[in-house]
Amino acid sequence: MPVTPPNIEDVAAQWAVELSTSERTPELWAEFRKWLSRDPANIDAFLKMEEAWRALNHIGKLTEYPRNLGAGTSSQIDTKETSNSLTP
Amino acid sequence: MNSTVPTTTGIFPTALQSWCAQQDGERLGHRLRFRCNEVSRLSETKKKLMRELVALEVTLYSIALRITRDESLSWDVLQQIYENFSKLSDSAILAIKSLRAYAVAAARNQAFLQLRVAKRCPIDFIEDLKDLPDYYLDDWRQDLGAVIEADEALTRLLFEIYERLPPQCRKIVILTKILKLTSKEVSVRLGIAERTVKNQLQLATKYAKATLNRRGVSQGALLLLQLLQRKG
Repeated sequence: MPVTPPNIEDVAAQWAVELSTSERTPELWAEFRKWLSRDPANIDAFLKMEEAWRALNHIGKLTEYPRNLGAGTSSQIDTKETSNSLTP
Repeated sequence: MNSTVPTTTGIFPTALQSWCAQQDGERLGHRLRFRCNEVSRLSETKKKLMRELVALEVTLYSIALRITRDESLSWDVLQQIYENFSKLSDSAILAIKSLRAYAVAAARNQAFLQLRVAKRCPIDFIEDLKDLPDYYLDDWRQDLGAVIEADEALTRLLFEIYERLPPQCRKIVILTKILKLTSKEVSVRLGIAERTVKNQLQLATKYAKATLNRRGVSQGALLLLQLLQRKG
């Protein structure tokens, strides 16, 4: 059975998250650079995915969303409630 | 302790990183060709911004590599950005509205400069450069985050993305992005594997990217938005 090569978007997302959430060890760097250098399309995919990852940083702004943007919103992000409910 | 600064040419600063990790206090030095005492002469504001700049190094290195196709030149690009930034006057630093936009533009410009210095342009690379996405060429490009901050429609879009994420994925995004927990801490809190946390974050990132792209929040749209904002 032929092995399907990993989707470039999946790998790019994996790197965007991995590099932000893990310690950047020399081994991780080396592996990342190897993947980047393999194909310019990898670089393009990574940069776009990394931008989407950064866009999620602004999700914090949504704690103010219903108040700022008014009617029609169905829910509000309640970090306090989420935080409390998840506290062990 | 070995006080000789290892060479960095052409590689990521593994040796230099180890050397600097041994230094007390100042961790910025390992990213720069400065000695640690030179880094300590920078103002506090500049040091803070320099740390933010260093945090962007993966992006800047990727942009440089995409343009130069050369790891050594890309590393030189990073160094040049750091050195140029360290030499900026305080007033020039105050004029930077988005550090990311500044850094992306600097990476692109330095990469082209390095190509010229290495005399690899334009003949060798002209075919490659034709394929470069706007991302690398667009002078108007702005930090997506800054645009989100300024634009209500994009905030709505981000809210849509948030609402459509599965509940567990949503929790993980909140804990990571708002409460700034590490993936390990999130895994402990939720009683799930760290790998699951990362998988969920990848899912959220891919969904955000797909949604932003589908709605045209990409190079062209950002350019248009910026032009409209300038006219407004």
